[in-house]
Amino acid sequence: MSKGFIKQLSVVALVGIVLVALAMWSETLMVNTVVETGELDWEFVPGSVTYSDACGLPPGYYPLGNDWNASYYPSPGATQLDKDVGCTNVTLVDSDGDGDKDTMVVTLNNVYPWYYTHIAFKVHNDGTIPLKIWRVVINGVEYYELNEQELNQGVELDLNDDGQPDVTVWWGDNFGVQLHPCQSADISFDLTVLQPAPEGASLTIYISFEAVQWNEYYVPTSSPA
Amino acid sequence: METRKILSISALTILVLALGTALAMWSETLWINTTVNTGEVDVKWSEWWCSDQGSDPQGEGYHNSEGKDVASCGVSVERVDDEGDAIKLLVTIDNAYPGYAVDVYLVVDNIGTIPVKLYNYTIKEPEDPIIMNLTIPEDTQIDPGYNSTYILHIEVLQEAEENATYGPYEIELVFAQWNEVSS
Repeated sequence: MSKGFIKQLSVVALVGIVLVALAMWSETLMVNTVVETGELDWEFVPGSVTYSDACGLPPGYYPLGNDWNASYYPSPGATQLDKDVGCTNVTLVDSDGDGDKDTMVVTLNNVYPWYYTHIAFKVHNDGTIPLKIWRVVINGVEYYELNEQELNQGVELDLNDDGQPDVTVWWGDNFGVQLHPCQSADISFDLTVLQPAPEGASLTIYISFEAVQWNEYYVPTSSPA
Repeated sequence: METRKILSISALTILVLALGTALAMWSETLWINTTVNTGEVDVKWSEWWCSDQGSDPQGEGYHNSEGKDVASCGVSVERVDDEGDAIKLLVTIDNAYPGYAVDVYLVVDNIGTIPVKLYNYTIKEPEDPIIMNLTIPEDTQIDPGYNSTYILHIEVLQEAEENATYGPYEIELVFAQWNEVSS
């Protein structure tokens, strides 16, 4: 039997198999799958921000613009002084142009040791996925809860790297609070300027406030204590 | 001359008699008519449901102990054949998020008259951050009047983008007569 004949036979057999396969009775079922994702989104609620000693208020006792003194330090809280020297200004910014106010800019003007201010605001879940308030990151340090942590007593920050704390931040609670779409929560924090703060300086504190989708919420066991 | 005529007539008469006898012979004829009624290989999607019946199911490493119902999974008929049988389904998942993992149960009914087996199927691995896999019964044979359940697992991965649409991903299952599908 020649090689050519074997080759021809193979081709014929192959064609035969293909024809049988094509002719086989069959029925096809199909499924199409489309996945549409939601959005995790939250924002500072415009108009919800209130703060002590707003710049522009005329001098005078509450609700006017006399300064507040951290009389109860190291605990939060203050008493109002008889002078209007420094002031606090807070604005909300939409940094990425998506229509949400995602950045709060806090400016303390002409302040001095023991100057105290309190800032309160609302955050709002404007996405479609439930979220949980996860953590606050203050100058690069992550905080996931208040209890038994440094944050409960206030965090002292050295903003000019001289080894001395310049400002104390007390962060309100609400860690782990869940916000369904359209729900909001009240948050607040206090700032106190400390004795070692330099004169005539501009000091910046970076605070980021993060939420995660509820089904991924966790508190690391090694969070700062 | 006269004798020859008589002989011829006699021979002819004998021949006619012989033929007549043959034609009158007792006989019986049998016939066979053959009709072939072929069967039908026919299947359809008969039932379908998602494992997400309220509380969102989660993938490994995610949790929904509170039983939240955030995403939704629905199945509808996208195409029917000439007989009105569902042959193409559309699975739609809305408002999904990383960790959402749903099983879609798809029941195939053999509505034909011939046993069928799964001949082949195609399910493309999505290049998107979506996991899709199909669980096939160990024995894919379905006898007429019986059914078999396939499970399509869909999971959204962490890399999925918000407010995005992924798909459509098409899955095709070809069922053929059982005796032509090697097990």
